Amino acid sequence: MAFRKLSPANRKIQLVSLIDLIFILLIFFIITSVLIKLVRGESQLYIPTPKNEPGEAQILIQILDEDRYLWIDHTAIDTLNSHTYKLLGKVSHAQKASILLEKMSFDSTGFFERIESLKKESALHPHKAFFVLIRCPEDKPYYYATNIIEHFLGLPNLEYGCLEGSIDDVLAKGKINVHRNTIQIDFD
Amino acid sequence: MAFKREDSPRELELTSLIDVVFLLLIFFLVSFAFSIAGDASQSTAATEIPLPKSSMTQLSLKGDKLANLMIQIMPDTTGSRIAYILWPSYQEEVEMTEDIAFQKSLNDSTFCSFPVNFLSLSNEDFSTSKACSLIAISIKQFVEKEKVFKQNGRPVVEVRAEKNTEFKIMNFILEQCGLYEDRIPQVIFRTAS
Repeated sequence: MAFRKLSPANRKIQLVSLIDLIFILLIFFIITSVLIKLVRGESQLYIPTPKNEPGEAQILIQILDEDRYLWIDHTAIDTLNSHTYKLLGKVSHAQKASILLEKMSFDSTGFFERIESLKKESALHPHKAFFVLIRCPEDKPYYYATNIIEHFLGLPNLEYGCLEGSIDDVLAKGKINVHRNTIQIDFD
Repeated sequence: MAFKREDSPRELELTSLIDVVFLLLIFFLVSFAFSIAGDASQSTAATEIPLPKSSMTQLSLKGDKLANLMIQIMPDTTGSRIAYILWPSYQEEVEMTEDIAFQKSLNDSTFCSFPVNFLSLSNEDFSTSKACSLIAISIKQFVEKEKVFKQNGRPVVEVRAEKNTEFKIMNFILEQCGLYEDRIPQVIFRTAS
């Protein structure tokens, strides 16, 4: 099949196609510039400096994973007592840690419900000081911890401290002793 | 002038038709995506999420300028992390873009890599590593400098890092700030998304 040669008179710039093409390019650059801005954006979080002093905490939060948290507060005493009572003989520290892990760990929904009720309680008692200890495994991303700290902003009577460590340390060599009103946990 | 009448049959121009249909499709897709994003942000902002209020009333940021000590943690080619320290200029304010922060810390030689195996190091070895020492010394010097330059100001430390930066590094920075807790009341996290 022979190709038909275009005569010079037919060689014109197709204005419609040109406008179409320019319009497509314009849309492309507008969208990419918006997306680049979105991608390069960074979020800012202003948090008060944590107080990392040894002492008592009302609540210990151990981050297990992105969607799993261990929440130890005063209710853990009853939980531990009622379960260790059923076990005969001496209960090891690892057994206590396993009980806590089984009964007091929550997913995000349950965990943040507890955070909300803690915030309400601290707002109701402005003269009472609250201290929360957040423990996060060292190899996990730091936003696991800052996601929690973010919830404590704006409450001057609610302070927090940060520690690094995983639940494995507690299971392996931690010491958990239950006293009348307190739980003493030595992490290593 | 008489109009010339076209005798050729009027064909539908398929190429232009496809072009126009394609443009319309893109337009509706994009406007639909933006309207969903707009709705979502409006509904959450208006109903559910109360904006967090910081206990601090004074912020040390002036527009988009750096007025604080910035510690920038970036990934290393070896799979580890590098800490870049960016000092605020006390004479003139510094634009705080990521590239300038990076370039300035290179020029000032205030950067240091964390050891490749920093996650397996003991706390003592980690905190005495070069990068940690650099961070600790910088925070200490910053607090001392702020005392001289801004008698009434309160120094704020900023940390810029990717979302998945290990907690071990951040905890060290928070610990160091905690040592001067009466002087550094606030830490700012700038998380690159």
